[in-house]
Amino acid sequence: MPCVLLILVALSQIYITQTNGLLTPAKGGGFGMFSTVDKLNNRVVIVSGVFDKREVKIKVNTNDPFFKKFLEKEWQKARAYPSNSNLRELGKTLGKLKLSKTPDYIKIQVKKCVFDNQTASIAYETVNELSMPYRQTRK
Amino acid sequence: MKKIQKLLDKIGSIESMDLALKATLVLFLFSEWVVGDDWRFMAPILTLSALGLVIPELHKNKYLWYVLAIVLFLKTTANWWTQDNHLFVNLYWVIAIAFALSFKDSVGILARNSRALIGLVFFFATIWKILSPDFSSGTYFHFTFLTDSRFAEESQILGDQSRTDIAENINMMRKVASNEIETATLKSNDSIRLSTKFITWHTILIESLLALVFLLPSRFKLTNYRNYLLLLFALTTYLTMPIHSFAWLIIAMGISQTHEKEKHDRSLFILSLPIMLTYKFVPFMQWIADAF
Repeated sequence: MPCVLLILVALSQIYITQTNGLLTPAKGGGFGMFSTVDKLNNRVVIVSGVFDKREVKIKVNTNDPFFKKFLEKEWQKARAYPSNSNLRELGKTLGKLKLSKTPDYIKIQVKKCVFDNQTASIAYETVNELSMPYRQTRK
Repeated sequence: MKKIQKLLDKIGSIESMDLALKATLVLFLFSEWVVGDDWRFMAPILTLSALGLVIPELHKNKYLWYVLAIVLFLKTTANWWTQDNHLFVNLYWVIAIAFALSFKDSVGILARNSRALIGLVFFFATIWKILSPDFSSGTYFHFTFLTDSRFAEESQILGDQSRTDIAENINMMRKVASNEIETATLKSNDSIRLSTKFITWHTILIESLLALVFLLPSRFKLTNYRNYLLLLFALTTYLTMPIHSFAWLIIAMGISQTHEKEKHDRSLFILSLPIMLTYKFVPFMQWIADAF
């Protein structure tokens, strides 16, 4: 029974990563952790607020105890698997942030590191992004 | 020599299942990596592991393992997309133990499950290495040795890459990630390129061989080497890879699948458990790097 479970989980992880390209191969139970540069630590989440068509980057302090308590779970989930629904969940959770000015929209981007083996150069490319109306839930 | 042989025989006479179960509970009791920091899972895992070790014969009680399996299952589902793959193996292993203890031939059932689980882990690890262009091109290890400070000693020994070089590379990554610059070239050299290519092929070879010897039926002669190959893998890989809790788990699983005729192999597995601990606490790689 545990072997069947392992096979089902690993095959579904391979299927998800190969079909939509959103999930990092290093997560999800497929044993791709030591095979790719596209690991969780090499992905970044960028949050921006849109104020009257003007986009401003919102700095989220990931070392803040508030982040650890209220945002980290959704943040890491969106970072590992930035599907539209996971990004939407993160967007809702970001409503807990205390911002000096409330944006009309919030834009979330997840980028992954790409490494050129020949030239040893790096760049970041977008895995997925989503804009949604911002609703502050923290007074 | 005779005394060493006697000692190995004595160690090898310890019942495989008994020891594997206790070693698993020890892992759960002391590894933060397994337990995590969520009290809802931490409390039952620590309590059950402690009770299983302290109360005589409780470690062989199937209900203890079923409850542990339920807790690990809930922990896994709560952290599905973010938890390490190795933690999935913990769950499968605990289910295998609970399942085996529900039958009369628990030792045999656990041995078969353990063998299959080890084989499947290495099989899927190999599949990913074949599927990923990052791996077969050598990109993965090249990038890792340039930017992962956990492998600083290996980078220094194999590729003449200093800690400062790695720190500078990490800094460059940070700049690109935060859009300060669009792209950057990391500090690298030919010797690190060559050595990481060698490590790439060594890894794929040993992992695919492990998958093969653990998944093939025992009638194939090649399977006679499975214990030695697993030991070789554990003793060499986990010296450099900072995943000691998983190393402990794989050794515990290795012990459980040893046959009564393989007492010598079992004693080597048992002796390698404290070696995995020394890998965690003794800076062997640092000493080797300093000598270079």
